[in-house]
Amino acid sequence: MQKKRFYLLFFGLLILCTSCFEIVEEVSFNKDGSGHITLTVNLSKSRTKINSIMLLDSVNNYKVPSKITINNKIASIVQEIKKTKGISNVKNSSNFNEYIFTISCDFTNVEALNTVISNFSSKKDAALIKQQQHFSFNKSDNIFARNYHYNLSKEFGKTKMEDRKVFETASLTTIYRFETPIISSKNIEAKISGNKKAIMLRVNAQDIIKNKKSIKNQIQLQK
Amino acid sequence: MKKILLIAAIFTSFVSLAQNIESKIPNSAEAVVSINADRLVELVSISEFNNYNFSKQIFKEVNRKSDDGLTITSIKDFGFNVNSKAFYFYKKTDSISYHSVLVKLTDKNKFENLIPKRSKEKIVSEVTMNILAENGSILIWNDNLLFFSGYQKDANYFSENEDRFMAVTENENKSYYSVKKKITAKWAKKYAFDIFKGNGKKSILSNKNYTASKSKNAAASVWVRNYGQLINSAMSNMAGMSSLVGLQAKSNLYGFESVTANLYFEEKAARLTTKMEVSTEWQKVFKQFYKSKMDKNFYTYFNQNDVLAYFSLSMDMQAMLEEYPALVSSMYGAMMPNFKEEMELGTDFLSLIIDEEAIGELITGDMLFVLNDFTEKEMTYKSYKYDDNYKKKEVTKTKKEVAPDFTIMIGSKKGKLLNKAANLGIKHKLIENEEGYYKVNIPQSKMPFDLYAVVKNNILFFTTSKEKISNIVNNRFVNDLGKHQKMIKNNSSIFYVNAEKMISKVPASELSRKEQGYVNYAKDNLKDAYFKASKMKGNNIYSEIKINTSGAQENSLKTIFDFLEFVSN
Repeated sequence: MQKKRFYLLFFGLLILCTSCFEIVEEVSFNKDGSGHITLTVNLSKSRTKINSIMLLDSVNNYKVPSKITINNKIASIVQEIKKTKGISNVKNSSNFNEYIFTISCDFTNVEALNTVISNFSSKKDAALIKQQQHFSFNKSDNIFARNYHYNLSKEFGKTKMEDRKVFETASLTTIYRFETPIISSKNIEAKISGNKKAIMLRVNAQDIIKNKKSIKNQIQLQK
Repeated sequence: MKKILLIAAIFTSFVSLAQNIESKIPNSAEAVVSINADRLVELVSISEFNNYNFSKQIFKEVNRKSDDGLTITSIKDFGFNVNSKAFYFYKKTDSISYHSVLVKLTDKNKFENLIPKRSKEKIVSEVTMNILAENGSILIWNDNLLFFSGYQKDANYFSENEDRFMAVTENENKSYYSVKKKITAKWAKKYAFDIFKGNGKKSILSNKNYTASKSKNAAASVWVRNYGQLINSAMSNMAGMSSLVGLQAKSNLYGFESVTANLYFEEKAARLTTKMEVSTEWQKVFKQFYKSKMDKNFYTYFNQNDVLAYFSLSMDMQAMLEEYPALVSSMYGAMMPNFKEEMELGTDFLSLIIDEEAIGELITGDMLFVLNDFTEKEMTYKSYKYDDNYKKKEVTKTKKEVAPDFTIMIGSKKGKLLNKAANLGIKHKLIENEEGYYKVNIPQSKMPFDLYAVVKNNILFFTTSKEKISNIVNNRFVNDLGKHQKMIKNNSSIFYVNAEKMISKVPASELSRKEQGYVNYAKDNLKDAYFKASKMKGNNIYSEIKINTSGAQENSLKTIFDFLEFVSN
């Protein structure tokens, strides 16, 4: 009892620190529509808080997963991705000191990426992904488009107030690299690189959730 | 004249009967809770209570749920006497356990309005009382008294006696389920009648332990006849538990017999005091365990101006190691007689291999944890930088983070041994030797603070502050004990929080608007709070939880109600 009280005091106070994380989506495209994708989830900025949370059983009524559970989950995701047609060279890394997790793979065309997302979605979402492809590449017009069908604002509305704080300082970055120069892009937040062959878009999770900004984009490449 | 006397006598006995409903509680009650509404009304008047929004919400909810179109707007509209005491008590027989409530009524009709329609049909009116018996509960009331009892049959008793009950002629061709239901309802009714009418049963007021536990100014009081047995009986009620492990419900595993608690709302403090009577077989152990006082050296390193919260513990480790195994063996041996020999051998073997004195010197049993402050610390983290062509590169950035500053002191007379262990740590690069103290190498990725350690004056110190460790080593530590020396010295354990100071340290940026509201409210209304557990005094251990308020409100109950009001808005 007394020991418990001691721990409660100690770790309860540590948890006062806020959460913060960034997600980076990088895709390098070849001319034929194939390419390489890397997804990075970086929680390094919140690692003090995560270190404290990892010592607890649950937080905000959520069970805190152990390192083993997290690793198993990632392994099963990797296995699932590996099974997808058109996907190869699947790699992943987990850094539990900094809490940085990456997953990367090669793809033969963007449809393979859509299939991967569908495979991790509900039947209803999978059908919508078919209609509104998250990744599309029009070879004849040389247009690459990033899209999604989720109504994040609505989904966010369903979350508990105390959980929303987690998204306050989160950010999402997308970087797409091409072999041919970029002429224009529809999302005004996106910035084209000096060599015109890459485009970066950085938005705060809050702005996405409130439908103020989006990672949706249409990129016109030189023909 | 005789007539007048007779009337006077009847009147007096009627009044005293009406007033002292407590006397109806049977002496065999295992636990009694009294809610001293008369005291509560003194602190917060009925009209004040009715005006709180949370009260209004409760009334609204009761009105909404009622099928008679109730219009309750005051606590008085429930028909209960809010200027009187109300009692809950628990009693267990070999066959049934009862949870009962006794409340005085001022308006029988108002109370009856609360009863749902379908239950009203079941009310049986007798000459002086009304009875509503439903499955598992019985309610009896007259013009000025209400008695409620919820009851539960003992599964073990009824399975043991099944043959006997089913052999009775009138139970022929009936299911045992209906027979059990009929028997328990009959017994519960008798139990309820006996209490309501006061059928010559001995009252709890004849129990000196109970009457001594009462405190006039308490807003609520709890009395438990035998804590260990109450817990045991609760455990044995859990289906199959006792038969599985062969537990003997009579043994008192928890070491406590009677327990009393009193709750007080004072002008500038709310207090909960408890008194726990240690059972005979545990008395010697507890006395030994808590006989030591905290080593005076500890006081040299305590400065009340540098404290947000602390936790102190003072016990005799050697005594515990010497007494505990034998006691555990005898306790568990009595509980599980089939394993008595195994237990004894196990504990004897343990006593053989551990050197109580040596361990008692390594860890004396004195401990003090002090939360000194919250300070901003610089910490590094990994992020990304992008070149002109958006090529990603991992970079190290820094940010400020609020981290606790604390000091831990652990009593130890084995300085040499600890220093040897530290040298081993240095060899393996877990620890660095600095000027007369050690720095523990914790990777910054694990904890956002440094940790220093030293052994001095029979104390093993850990602290996050380089300045503090240096002051300790160089005898420059300035102590200031104030009221805390007496508190730590006279008690076995203290958990103290300076709420006022602690709250002012919570960074507003880390809180949501709602949380900031709570914090501001707490800042305006709270001062400090503590929990203390005494050493053995006679055969008792006393504890107290006290929350000191700023006195912004008339009394602490109002402070609590105002907080509820604040939260519910």
